[in-house]
Amino acid sequence: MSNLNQDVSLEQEIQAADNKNKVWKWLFISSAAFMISWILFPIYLLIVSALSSAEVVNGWPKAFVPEFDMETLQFFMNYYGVLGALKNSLIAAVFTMVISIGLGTPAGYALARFEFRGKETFRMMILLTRAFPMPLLALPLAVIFINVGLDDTLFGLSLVHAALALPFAVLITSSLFLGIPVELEEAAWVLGCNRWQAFMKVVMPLALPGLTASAVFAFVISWNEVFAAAVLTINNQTLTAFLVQSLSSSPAEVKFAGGLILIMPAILFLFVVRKYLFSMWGIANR
Amino acid sequence: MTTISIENVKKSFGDAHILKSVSLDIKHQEFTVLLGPSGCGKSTLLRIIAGLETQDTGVIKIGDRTVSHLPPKERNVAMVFQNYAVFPHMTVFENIAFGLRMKKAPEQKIKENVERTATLMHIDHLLHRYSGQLSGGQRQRVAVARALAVEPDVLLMDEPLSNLDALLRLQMRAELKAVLEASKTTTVYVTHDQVEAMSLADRIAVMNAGRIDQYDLPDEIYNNPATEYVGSFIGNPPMNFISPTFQRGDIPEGATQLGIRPEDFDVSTEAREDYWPITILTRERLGSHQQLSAELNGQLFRVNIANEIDVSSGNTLYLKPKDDKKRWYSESGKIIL
Repeated sequence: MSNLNQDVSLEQEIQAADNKNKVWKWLFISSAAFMISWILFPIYLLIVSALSSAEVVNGWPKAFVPEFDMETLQFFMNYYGVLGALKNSLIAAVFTMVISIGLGTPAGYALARFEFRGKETFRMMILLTRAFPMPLLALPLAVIFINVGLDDTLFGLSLVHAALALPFAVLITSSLFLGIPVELEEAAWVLGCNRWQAFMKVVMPLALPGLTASAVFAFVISWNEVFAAAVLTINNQTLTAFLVQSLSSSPAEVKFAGGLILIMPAILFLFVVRKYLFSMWGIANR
Repeated sequence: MTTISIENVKKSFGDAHILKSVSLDIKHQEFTVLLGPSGCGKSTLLRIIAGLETQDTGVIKIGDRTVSHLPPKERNVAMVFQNYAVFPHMTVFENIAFGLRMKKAPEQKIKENVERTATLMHIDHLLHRYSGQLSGGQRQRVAVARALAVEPDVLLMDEPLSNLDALLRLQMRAELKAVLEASKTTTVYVTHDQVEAMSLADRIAVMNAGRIDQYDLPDEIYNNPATEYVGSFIGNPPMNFISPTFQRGDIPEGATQLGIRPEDFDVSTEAREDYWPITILTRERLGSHQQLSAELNGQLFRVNIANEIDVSSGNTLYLKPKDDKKRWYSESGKIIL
C-alpha cells in the first residue's frame, strides 16, 4: 500500500516537473517570437508598402502580400538627385571601407601579436571613440572641415565614417589574427619568409574571409550613417542625407520605396558576413 | 661541418630569468636532446637557436657562422613545431615545397625533394590533400617532411611527438630515429619525456631552471648523474638519495648523499653483514620485476627486485647497494668523483 502511494506521488512529481518544463519552453518560444517580430515586422511592412501602388499604401485594409507594383520604386529611382546620391553613398562607403581596413588591419594585427605598454588601454580607447554621440561631434567637425577645405567632400565624410567604422575593424581583425596560430607564421619565417612575406603568404589567405566581412561591415556603417552625412555634405549628399532632406515632404509610398533601397544592401551584406560578426561578439560559431 | 656553438646565452622575460648563462657545443651530425620539465627554458633555447627569440646576451654559431642576430630565414635551419603548424590553405605538396619555393629552387628540384621526403615519411599518397583532411600523425609527418625538404644545416624539433597518442608516439619515435639517422642532419630536439630522450639522443642536455646540469651520452647521464637533480629526473623510478649516516666503510670527503638506482642493490631475505634491514611499505608487480617502496630509519626509497623473491608489505628485507654503482653527492648536489 505504502509502495503504491510512493509510486503515485512520484508520478505526480514527474508530471509537475513536466508541466514546469512545458511552461518554460512556451515562455522561451513566445519571447523569441516576440523579439524576432519586433525586428522583422517593420521590415515586412516596409517591403509590402514599397512594392504596392500608392492607393494600396494609403488605403485600408492593408494588403498582407505585396502586389509587386514596381511603379513607386521606378518613380523613386527616377526622382531627381536619387541616382547622384546613390553614387555618392557608394563612393563614400568604398572610401570608408578602404580607410578602415587599411588602418584597422595593422592595428588589429598589432593587438593580436605584440605585447606593448598600454595595450589594454589602447583597446579601451578604441571602444571609447564610439562613446561620443555623432550630434555632439558633427558641428565642431563641420567647422574644422570648412577651415581645412574638406567640407562638402566625400573624402571628408569618409574620414568621419572611417572613424566610426575603425573600432569595429580593429576589433574584428584582431580577433581574426588571434585565431590564426602564431606557429604558422613562425614556420613560414623559419622556411625563408620575412615578416611581410609570411603575412602575405600565410596569414592573409587564412584571414581573407574575415577581412572581407570586416570590410563589408565598414561599408554598411558608412552606407547607413545619416547625421554626419546630413551635416557635412550639401551638394554631394549621400542617399541617407538626401532622403532625410528631400523626402520629408514626399508622399508615404515614396518614403517607403526610399527606405527599402536604403536597408536592402545593409541587410544583404550583414546576412552574408554574420558568422564573422558573431565571432567578434563572442557568440560561438555554430 | 655543421656544429652549433652556444656561448653564455642569457634570456629574461620581464623578471623571469628563463636562461641563466647557457653554454653548449653540439657536434656535427649529432642528435642532441634538450630534456627538462616545463619551464626549464629548453623551448626558449631552441627558439633562440632558430632565431624566433633573441638572446639578451651571448653568441650563437652555426658552423663557423655567427648567427646571433640573423633573422630565422638566414640561418638555414628548419623547425618542427609541437602543433605541427601545417599551412591549412595549402596542399601537402605545397606545404613541403614551401621552403624550397621561398629559396627560389628550380621546379625540377622542388618536385624531386618533395617526392623524396614524402616517400621517406610515407605520405606520398597524400600529396594533394589539405591539412584538414589529415590525421594528427599524418600532419606530423608533413611537418617533418617539410623540414627535411629544405635540406637544412640544422633541424630543430619542439616536442614534435607530444600531441600524438601513446601508441602512435612509439611508432613515430622509432620512425623518426631511422629517418634522422639516415639524413645525418645535426638535430636539436626538445622534450620533457625522458624515455623519448634516452631512446633518440646521441647526447642529452638535461636542463634545470635555466641551466644545463649535464650534457653527455645517454648512458653517462643514467649511470653517472652529474647532479642530484639529474639523478632524480632520469629513471623511472628515479635514483634514491640516502643520507649515509649508517653507511659502513668509506664515505668520500664532503659527501652528504648517497645516490643509488633502484635496480642496483644486492638483495637477501636473511640478515647479513653490511646489509641494511629495510621495512617494505608497498609492493607493486610490474611484470618484468617487482617494485618495492621501502623504509630505513625514516628514509623512503624504492627498490626493484626479481619476481622470484617472495615478500609482502610489512616484511623485512636485507639490501646492500652494489659498490660500483654508488654515487656520492655533496651538500650542493654535485657528484663527487
